[in-house]
Amino acid sequence: MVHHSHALTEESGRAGLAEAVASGETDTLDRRMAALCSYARKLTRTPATVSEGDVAALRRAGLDDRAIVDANQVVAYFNYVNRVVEGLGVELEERWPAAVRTRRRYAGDLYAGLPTLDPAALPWLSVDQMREVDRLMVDEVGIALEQMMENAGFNLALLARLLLGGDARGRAVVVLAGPGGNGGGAMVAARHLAVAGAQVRVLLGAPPERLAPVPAHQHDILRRMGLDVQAGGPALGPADLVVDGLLGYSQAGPPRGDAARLLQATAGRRVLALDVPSGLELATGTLYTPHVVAEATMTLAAPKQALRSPGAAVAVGALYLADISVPPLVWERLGLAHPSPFGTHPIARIGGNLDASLR
Amino acid sequence: MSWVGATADAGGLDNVLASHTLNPGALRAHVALYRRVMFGDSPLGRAEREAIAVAVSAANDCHY
Repeated sequence: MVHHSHALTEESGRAGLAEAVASGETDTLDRRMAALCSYARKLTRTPATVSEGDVAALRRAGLDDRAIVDANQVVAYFNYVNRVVEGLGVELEERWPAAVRTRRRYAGDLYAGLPTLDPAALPWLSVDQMREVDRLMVDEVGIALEQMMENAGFNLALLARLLLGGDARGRAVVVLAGPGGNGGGAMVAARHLAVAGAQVRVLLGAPPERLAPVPAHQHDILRRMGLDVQAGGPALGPADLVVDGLLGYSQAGPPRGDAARLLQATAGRRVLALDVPSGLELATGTLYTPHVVAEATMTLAAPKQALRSPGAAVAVGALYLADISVPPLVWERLGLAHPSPFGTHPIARIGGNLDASLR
Repeated sequence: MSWVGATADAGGLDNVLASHTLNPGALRAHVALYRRVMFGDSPLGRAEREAIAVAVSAANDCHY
């Protein structure tokens, strides 16, 4: 990375280009380079899934067969040389500045092999439909709210680990938990992250006596575990990651009170939002002030319509979908065809723009 | 530096090449492939080739 990020900056004259390529944010790249990077990423991560359609995508981007052969050679060469480096413990030369020599992670979700889902192949639910999913899960399937919440929080903790570079141990995580189901899921994530070795603090968006019954149960568990749980909107303090579970899909109107104060304090922090970023009213797509600016949002069961409204993008960040085991009969009752997207992993990225250019 | 030995004349080489000077034939073939693929005639521009290098190395989490 270090050697060729430097070379790419020199060759292109564009300072931010290497970071954009490394993170898969290809919006700023021209079509050819975006297509080349998509092909490179796919052939590196999942070589057996590359198909003739991927080569056709390169042709559509204006590359002839010789260019495609050359691109393939560069991808193959760097997979070779990366393995020389990792297999023999090759260190960066002394000439590189100390700040550059510190090893860091680049792949993030790529590293965990998370699949990417085609947004067009998913049902995008209204708030009423999501409420009906939850009702059917409890009333018709018999899956209790505690069970759904456990799956949500477990997956949220899994994604938090990935955003922390694959290891939560010793990392400072601040969990913001509201009084409803969203806060309950965040408190489940707080428990899993604390058990995994993270330094977890939980800040409640409402006084403990206002917690709904199931979130109150989660809160009780955290207290028995001796976790640092506070209410009343104290300062966030140091955090490698902030988990936003203040407001869920039912939120309406601008955030108020302690929740609003906590949301304001998230400015400039790395935020992972559960289900919906706090401050985004899903029923209308209105983004209120204050709201979180999430690096990633992990939504549950199926994406909600307002999460893809243009005005919401700044708050949503990268959108992930997590499994809470909604069976086919629930989707059938809603009149939706929704084959499970969780065949390989309980969390998937929805429509990363890098993969979008392959279509 | 790396976890394996290198020949005495490896000084001046980048560490990735110095790491396999114990097999000079493989090293020569490596360098020839590198030069051909990254600097040889191609419809791909230099920046495009470096962008592929960055995309692959990021996907492999290879910091070097």
